[in-house]
Amino acid sequence: MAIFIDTKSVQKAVTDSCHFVPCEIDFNGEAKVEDFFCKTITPSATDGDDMTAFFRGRPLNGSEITLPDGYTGLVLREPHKRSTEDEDRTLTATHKFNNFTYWNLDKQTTPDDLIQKALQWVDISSALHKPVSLESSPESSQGSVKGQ
Amino acid sequence: MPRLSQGKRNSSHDDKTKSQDDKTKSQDVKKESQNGKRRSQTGKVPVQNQGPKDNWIFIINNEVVNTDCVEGDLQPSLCKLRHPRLDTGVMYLLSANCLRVFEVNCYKEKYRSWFIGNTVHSEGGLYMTSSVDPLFLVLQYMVSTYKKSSQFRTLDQIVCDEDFPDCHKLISCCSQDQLSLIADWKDIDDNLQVYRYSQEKTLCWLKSKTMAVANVLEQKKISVDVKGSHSAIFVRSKSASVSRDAYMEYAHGLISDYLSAALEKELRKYLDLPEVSVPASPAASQTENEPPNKKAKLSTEVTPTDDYSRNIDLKKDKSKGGKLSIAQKKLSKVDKTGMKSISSFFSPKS
Repeated sequence: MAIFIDTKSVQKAVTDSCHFVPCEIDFNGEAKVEDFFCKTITPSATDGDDMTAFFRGRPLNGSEITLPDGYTGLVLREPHKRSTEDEDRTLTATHKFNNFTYWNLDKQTTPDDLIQKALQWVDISSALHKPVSLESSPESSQGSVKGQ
Repeated sequence: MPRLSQGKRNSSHDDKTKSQDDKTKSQDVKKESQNGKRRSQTGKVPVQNQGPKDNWIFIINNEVVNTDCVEGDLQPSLCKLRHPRLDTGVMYLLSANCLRVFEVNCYKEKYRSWFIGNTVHSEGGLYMTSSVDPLFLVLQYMVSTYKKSSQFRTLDQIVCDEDFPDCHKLISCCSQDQLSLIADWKDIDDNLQVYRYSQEKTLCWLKSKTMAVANVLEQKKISVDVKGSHSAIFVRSKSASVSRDAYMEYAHGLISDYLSAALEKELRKYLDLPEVSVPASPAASQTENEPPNKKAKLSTEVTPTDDYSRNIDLKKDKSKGGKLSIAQKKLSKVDKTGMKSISSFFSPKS
């Protein structure tokens, strides 16, 4: 069993504003986000990148997060439920985005936020998983022999 | 560890999760490396019970999804492969041409949802895909084959796993050049090579990796202080004094998440890193890198600041040995020989 991602749907996916909000909402579907949430967003007076907003009367602090170069955000869904366990599954993309707004509940966004660590991992993992080139490896092996 | 939506590490990050999630490990789950450094948890791809409304927010490398070439039905796919550290099945993302492998880390917090346009998505996880060096996934098969016999074998004889049939897709991910970094090889003919695991080459290869990771950690000034909690806001100023060894140690921990426990130990020896010591005593763990003593005080004296029971003790102490009034002092100097204590008149007669 494999899960496939339909790349054709990615081309057609629409770009829309994305907000990562600090609350658990037990609902999926349409809502008047533009009318009732986006209108409360105001840029912060002190720092140009930061924003504040209100959701159900709670103050939120947010900042714009741009995805690392070479990455795209996708909202994937499974249009057809499979009927058996072994059937292959296909996910299609409904939306795509290159940046989104990350919101904290009444707390400034900082590099300690989980999302920042997720982005940090991209840098670290690219160093960790970049194929080691053949030339650099003999050098390091000599170094290690000396070291020992 | 992670499957796309399940619920997973270890790494909440959790780590790395993960888990990040768990990952939560991510975070929840992947094993957090011994120093608790891995922040994320890897998420699992949800396998069952999702309703039709389920959505997943993925962050995917453009190379995977922007393939203009529509060669037949080839699509990028999520497959279960054996994780080299956990030795269990974990979801990986393979590009359509099966040349690149990506791991899927789920970053999930308890209270998170998405607003996308004018819709609400209650699934508050973020599935981050990042490239994985396929050699890490092939290495475990190299080692296990070598343990059975020291003969040279072809790659499809080596990478073969009844539990995870998709593992054959890994074969096309690895070039001969890359494989020669972890194995001895021979040409049978132009199209057929045979391989045998080489621990020496592998350690050398892992050393280059560790140094590369340590370099990035250093450049990005990522906090590698594992001895206490840290905050980006307060810790920055002292990060300059972090030693190269600390970065190497941390990098070794990150890489160990992709190695078997045995290989992790070998690598530690090879890099001349100190053995993992038993958690040091609070006093010993106070290196020059620690901020001034605040933390130590907290850890030795964990009592609440408002402790009413202590006040009671103080009062008692006062009545016993505290200050005495002048009259009491005079009385205490009086010669008491031959006098009975007044309380003896009220005790039951024996």
